[in-house]
Amino acid sequence: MTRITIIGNSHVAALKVAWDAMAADHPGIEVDFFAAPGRYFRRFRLLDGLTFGLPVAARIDGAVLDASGRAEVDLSQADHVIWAGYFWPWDAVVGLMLDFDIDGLREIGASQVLSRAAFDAFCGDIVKKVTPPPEWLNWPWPRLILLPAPMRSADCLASRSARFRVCRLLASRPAGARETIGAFMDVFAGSMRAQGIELVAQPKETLLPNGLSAPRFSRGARRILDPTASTEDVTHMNAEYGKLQLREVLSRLALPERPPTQAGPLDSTAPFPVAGRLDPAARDRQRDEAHQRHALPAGVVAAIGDVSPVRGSARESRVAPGTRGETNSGDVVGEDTPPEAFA
Amino acid sequence: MPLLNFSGYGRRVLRMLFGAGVTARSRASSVTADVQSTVAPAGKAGKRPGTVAGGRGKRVPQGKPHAGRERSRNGAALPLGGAGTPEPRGGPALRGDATPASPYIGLPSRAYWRSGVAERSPLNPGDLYRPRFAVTRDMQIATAGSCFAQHVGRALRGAGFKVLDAEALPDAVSDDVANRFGYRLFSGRYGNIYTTRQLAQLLDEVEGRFTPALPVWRRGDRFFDAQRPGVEPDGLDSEEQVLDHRQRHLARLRPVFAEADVFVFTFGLTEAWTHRVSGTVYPTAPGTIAGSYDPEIFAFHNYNTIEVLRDFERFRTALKAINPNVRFLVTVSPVPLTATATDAHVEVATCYSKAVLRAACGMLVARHEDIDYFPSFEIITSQNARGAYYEPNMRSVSPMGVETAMRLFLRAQGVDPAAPAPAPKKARGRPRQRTVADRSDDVQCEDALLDAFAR
Repeated sequence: MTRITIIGNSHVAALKVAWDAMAADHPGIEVDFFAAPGRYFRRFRLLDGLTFGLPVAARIDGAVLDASGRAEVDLSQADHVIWAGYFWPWDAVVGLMLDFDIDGLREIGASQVLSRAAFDAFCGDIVKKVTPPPEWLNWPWPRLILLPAPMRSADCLASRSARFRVCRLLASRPAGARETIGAFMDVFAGSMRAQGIELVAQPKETLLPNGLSAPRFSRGARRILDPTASTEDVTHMNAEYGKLQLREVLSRLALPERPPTQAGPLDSTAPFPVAGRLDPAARDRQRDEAHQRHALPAGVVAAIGDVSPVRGSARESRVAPGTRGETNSGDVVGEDTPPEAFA
Repeated sequence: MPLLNFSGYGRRVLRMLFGAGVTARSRASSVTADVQSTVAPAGKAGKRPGTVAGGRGKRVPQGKPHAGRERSRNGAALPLGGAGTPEPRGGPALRGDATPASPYIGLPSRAYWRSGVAERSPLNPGDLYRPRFAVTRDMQIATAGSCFAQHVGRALRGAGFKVLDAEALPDAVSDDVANRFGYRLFSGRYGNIYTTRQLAQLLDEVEGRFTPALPVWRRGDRFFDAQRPGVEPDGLDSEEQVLDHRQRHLARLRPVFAEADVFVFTFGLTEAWTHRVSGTVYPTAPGTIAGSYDPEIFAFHNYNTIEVLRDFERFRTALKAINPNVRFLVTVSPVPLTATATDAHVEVATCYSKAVLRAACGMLVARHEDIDYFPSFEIITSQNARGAYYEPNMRSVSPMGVETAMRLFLRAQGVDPAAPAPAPKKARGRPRQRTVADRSDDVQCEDALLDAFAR
């Protein structure tokens, strides 16, 4: 059994409803969700070792959307920890896209032009500001995976709100937008990988050429969770999106998925790491073997480089409680998913 | 014991100061008195301070700069402290006994080396700068020049001045990374402009009157803008790309030249490399960052004062043509040469370079009311600082030096450097906030690359 813990803000909802529909096809995988609205989630911390939750002093009724009412979760029990809806400054990246042509990526007739080297350097600089705090880096185990928050849905273009002005500007000059966001994500992924974190970007097929999310992946996001909702949500994605993203993650983890038409047990020889209750040496050995046998696709390697297991004693080096920085989590723009999703 | 030996050199000095019609002996005492600042303290009127021939009057107490004749900021003489009417500057005043007084008598303490420098507390920048015109926060300021000018721009931004930025980046990009690609260093991404010839050449290019020869240099399979080779550290993919980047860059600069209220320029070097046939000047030697040196194509030139003066005059005239109300604040970089291509020792070559540039600045200020000189060179190189404003390499200006110079500038302009800068207003370009104290190694100096060639 592979144990996956998915933590995050309201963007976890799309994964939750997707997993509810997919779980039967993955009997060898156990997924635990631990989420909270962004305004609360950003207060969550690694409290002690890999125990993650709200500091006692900050605990508020209703802050945690976990079905069992937990205020914390022990991430050390998982083989993989997925942090969904991870904040990234998409508006800063779009700011670069609006003011500049970018060599090889985007030609919109801007008066200024960025070289590709400068663009990559600026992306790397932006990424530094959203790197998780030190206690999240270079975990020997479990493996940490970030899922950046999705781009806004193109449905936002119908709004006249100043909140979506940047999106409207982006859509008005769409050339190369999707590719540019992809290039940013490559830099983001490379930077995370260097710190022992894997980043799985928004699936390309969910992005329109103008860089915004295709509406079909957002429509119904709210109604799935709240059937009485009368408005659409341009920030969150729906179950279809969640499925695509989970499949992408599972493929990165080299976890087996039962073919839709095939019944029966999972391939028991599937070489995914089983960890958590093994002694550390055996766990490392299994993990290394799994990585060696399941090389990432060439495109992924090109984007994020080689993902070799990171060894070390990161747990011992984590900073003491009370000295940690912000987690940069939470989508401050979006509306939070209603708690019913986790009921 | 005489302080000066009036034979030879001393006599010539005296003759220069007082004219040939006086004897060395009769004037020597006055000069001796002046050199020692031996003027009577204020309040002891009845006797003009320092006019006791051959006497050793009492020194002006520290902190009483108005003891003698003081001058206002516009140079008009102010009344003596209870000592009578001001004295015309044109020549020695005559006292009742018709003995001519020296024009060097009774000047403010800042006029004398002893009180103005030697007795000034160490690292006190003193009263070296009195603005000719005000530079205010509502003015739009353009900056250009050598690497020291980067400090000037940053200090002004940090103090809430509107420093234009024609090629602004989103705030999400940090200064360090932006600087690496030539952003946020000056009002345009033109890199360091070391010579007035290059400054004039740039404006001509912006105005479409000039096209540089050999505009693209290569290093391996990468291509560089010969006029600003440092702004893309790894170069670009093709010559066409370089030319495209340059055209867009030039198009962004015109508003900076046209709209600046004050143009700040730091004179950096006299040594430059030029294209033999066209006269195009380059900011770096071919082969330093990119390109290759071919003596048949490129020539070394060490500008003299007349050339520097003429080039800045040309720039000023051209700029006034598109921006009639612009004023100029000029400085001389206190950063010595990294290397010289002359036969001289680098220290001698540095002295030549700085002397030429300083003289040109002095001449410009004397010629034009709209040009002010800020003595950053004097502040940093002052003997009073005893070298403390330099890094251990004795070349780079230390953060303390930068801060001292810029604090003096701000104070002279009526700005409290310690006070928080007002919240920036959106203006053309993008004023950015940064503290006065910037690390000296933040500065991007292409000429520092010459160190790589040092034996």
